[in-house]
Order: sequence, then structure tokens, then C-alpha cells
Amino acid sequence: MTPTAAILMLDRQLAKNGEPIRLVKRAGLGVVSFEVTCQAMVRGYDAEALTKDQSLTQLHRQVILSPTEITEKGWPGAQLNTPTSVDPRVPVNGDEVIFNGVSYRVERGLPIKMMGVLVRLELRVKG
Amino acid sequence: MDNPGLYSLGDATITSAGTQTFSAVDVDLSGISSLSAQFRFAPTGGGTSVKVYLQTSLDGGTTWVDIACVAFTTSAGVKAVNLNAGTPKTTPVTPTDGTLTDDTCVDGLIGTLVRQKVVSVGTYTANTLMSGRIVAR
Repeated sequence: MTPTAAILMLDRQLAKNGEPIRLVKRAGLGVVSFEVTCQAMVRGYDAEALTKDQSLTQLHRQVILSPTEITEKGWPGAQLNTPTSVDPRVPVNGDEVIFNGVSYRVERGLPIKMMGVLVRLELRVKG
Repeated sequence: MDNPGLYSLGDATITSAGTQTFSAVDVDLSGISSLSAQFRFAPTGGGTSVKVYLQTSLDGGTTWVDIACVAFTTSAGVKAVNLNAGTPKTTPVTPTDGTLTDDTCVDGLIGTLVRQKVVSVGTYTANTLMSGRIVAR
């Protein structure tokens, strides 16, 4: 499977079974923001996961995203021309996910890559 | 245009004097006919001046050309410009890079890449922010 095929497969699944969320990057004490609407799978953590990871609570959610909408929008916007190995498309601690009218703070974002290409994003968020 | 819409030029956190050059908007702007740009300055204290140069490239990123310059000092403010790629430029323009006169524009030159360059003088207190956005059509 190629990275492109993997992304297309995820996009199809999310279009069919996902829900729209807003991914928001805030700057300057939250004064300004830049956001993108994405299709995502949002789920809570089951009892086994909550038991295994003491840092998880019932307020946490797992959000699965495709990089497609993020890339098309150019989220999170232009960055300083400083070489970095960090992909700015991966949401980080402090970013915000809004779905069903509720705001959740991103605690961490996990990029999933295939052959060096970002094909999937898994976020841990807390409301 | 293939990808019209709102895009971020970046959010510059400003402290000590210096120049912050952002990457180009990471979206293909081929076919762009016009753009409106907004620059929001939110100082928290201190500082002398901040100038933002809106720049475009007509050769894929090798050469950058100032197409707008907006200037702020120590007060919060928002400034906006509108530029049209169809404005005739029959007299050749000598491009500038970070030296366009304050609060002026060069209309009629919009390439496939657009970015902002933020030049600050003086030391601003923490969380001073300059945000740039464009609406591309």
C-alpha cells in the first residue's frame, strides 16, 4: 500500500463514519486563531484503557484525523523559516478541537507516517 | 483560482528587535486574481515600531517582492489592504525586499507564493503579537 492509498482509504472511512470537527490553533494569549474543519473519528477510552493509563480520565477523547483537510487549508498557517524536524501540521498541546459545540484541549498529537509521509493523526484531547 | 479562501501568513511573537521571515502560505495559489490581507498588531508594552512586508514571488521562491508594507508603533491596531493581480503594470517595477515605504502597496504583482516578513525595532514585552491573514480569490 502506498501512502497516498492509505490516506485515501482513511478519507473514505472518515467521510462515511466520521463527524466534522474544528481544529483551532490560537496565538497571543488566545487573541487570534486559525482553524480548519476536518472530518474525524472521535471516541472515548474504554475501561481497559482507563485502567492501564492512570493519566486518562473519562473526560479524555481520542480523535483520529486525516492530513488531507489540514494540508489543503495550510493549517496552522505559515511558520518562521527556521529549519525544524517537527511537522507543524501535527496538533500540539494547547491546540483546540471543537465538536458538537464542546471545546477540547489537545494534550498530545501522534503523527502516523508511512514511508516518511504523514498519513494519519491521532490526538488525545480533554474536555 | 483552485484554492480560494482564508489563509494564515503566520503569527509573529515579538520581543527583541529583529526580522522574522515566515514561510510562504503552504497552499497552491495558482490562478489567484486578487487578495485581501489583514495585519493585526497586539502589543503588550514597550517597543518602538513594527513593519510587516507582504511579499510575493514570481519565480517560485527565489526572489521575493514587497507588495505591501504596513507599519505600527506601540498601539494595537488592524490594517488591511486589497491587491489585484489584474492591475496593469506597464512601467517596469524595480522590486524591493523589505524596504517598501511604510503604508504603501504595489498593486498588480501577485505570484504563486505569498509570505510576510516582520521587522521590529525596540523591545516589546512578552506576548506581543503580529498576525497576518489573507483571503485569496
